[in-house]
Amino acid sequence: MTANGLFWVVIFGTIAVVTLVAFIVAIVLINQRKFIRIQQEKLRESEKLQNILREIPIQVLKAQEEERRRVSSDLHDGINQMLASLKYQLHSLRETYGREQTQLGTSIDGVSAGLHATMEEIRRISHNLRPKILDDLGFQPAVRNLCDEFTARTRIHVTSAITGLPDHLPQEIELGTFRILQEALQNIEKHASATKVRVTVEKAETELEMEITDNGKGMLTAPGNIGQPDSRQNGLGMSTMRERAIVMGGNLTVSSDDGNGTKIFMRVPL
Amino acid sequence: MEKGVLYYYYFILQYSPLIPLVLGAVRFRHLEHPRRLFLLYLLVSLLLTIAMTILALRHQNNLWLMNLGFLVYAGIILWTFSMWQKNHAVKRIFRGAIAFFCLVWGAEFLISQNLFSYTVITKPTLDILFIAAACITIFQANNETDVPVVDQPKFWIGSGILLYYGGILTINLLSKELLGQSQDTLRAVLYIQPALNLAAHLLYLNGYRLK
Repeated sequence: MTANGLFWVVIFGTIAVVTLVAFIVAIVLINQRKFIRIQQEKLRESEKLQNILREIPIQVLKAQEEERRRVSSDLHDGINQMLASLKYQLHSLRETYGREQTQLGTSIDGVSAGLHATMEEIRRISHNLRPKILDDLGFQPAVRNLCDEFTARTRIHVTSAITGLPDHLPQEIELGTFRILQEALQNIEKHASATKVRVTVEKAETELEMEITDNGKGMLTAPGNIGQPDSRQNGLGMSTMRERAIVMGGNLTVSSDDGNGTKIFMRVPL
Repeated sequence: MEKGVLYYYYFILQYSPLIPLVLGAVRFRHLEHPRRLFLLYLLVSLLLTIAMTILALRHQNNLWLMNLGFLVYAGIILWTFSMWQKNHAVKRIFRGAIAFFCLVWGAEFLISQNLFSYTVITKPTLDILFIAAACITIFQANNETDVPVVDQPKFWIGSGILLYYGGILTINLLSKELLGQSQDTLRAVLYIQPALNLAAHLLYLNGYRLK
């Protein structure tokens, strides 16, 4: 009887201990599942935050473009129209008095020429701020026009090749690519001492690629990093170009050797 | 031969407090107050075991030492758990439980007038208080959202207390129910108690392993 009792004590005791152990193990397992869920929630929150942070430069660039559009419109439709009216009045003055008083006529001609140059400069600035041609005729004519104007102004020969592009690209891609080209040409004009520039834009599968090469003096190579320009030389313009490419979901690389020109390569998904 | 094996089994496992005690002593400087205090419990437990073994080997009654030990255990363990409590009301309840247990302990020995025998109410009361404190602590550890339970010392120490005192309470109650207060009851406890002791000390060891 006693031995039987002892047997049951051991059995029930073992069950009780196993139950306690099971309780502890269950707590650990439940807690682990809870923490996996918490980690996943934290990850989702972090992704949300990253998306918001990613949106900020896009919104900044959009605001910048909107502001440029407004200033461009004010310059073109406001100040330039007023100057055109002044020019017309000068022309009337010239017609009325300039023939009798030669000296006055010459002065009016001088003022008129200065006014014309000012209007041209305003038109150029306005055009740079917001290329109307991009809105009116689209990306390809705007790129060609930009290259032609650049050649006309700087005497640096630009050859452009645009191949395989669809009729319409997303507006952000068109504007972003155009701005990168604009910035690159500006850098070439200011720093490269180049005589030739080649611009190629093409569609490669699901991506848009743009390459801008010049035969200028290039950039100093970073020590121990052949082909990569020294980051200390990468000014604000270069970082703006990179930022624009990143905002479009792509990337931009610059390769250069001292004295052997510079190559800028941009790739963005379509 | 069988008696010899059981003897060594019981004898060796009784000294399992040494396992977390050594690690706790090595890492003492890096431990927070509750774990330092709990280390004192492990030390007292080990010293009591040694003293009780010596008395037993001299064929002297050692139950009075065990009964006095209950007071020390209650003070240390309930205070340790109270230090882990963030809620002040619960903290006060835990500390109040020490006073309550002292009253129960005093009352039982006043009534029985005998410190040299097994207790009827004191030990189960102590076990229940420890189980409740351990469960509350484990529950709170599980509710923490910054650290998983496995990385919280209070969870491991709470689990050890729950396993040991929960197991001992069950075995004691079952033994008394099925076997009565007899040599068999004692033997049944002696079979399982050292194993529970070892398991609990391995859980404490985990608690001291953590930073």
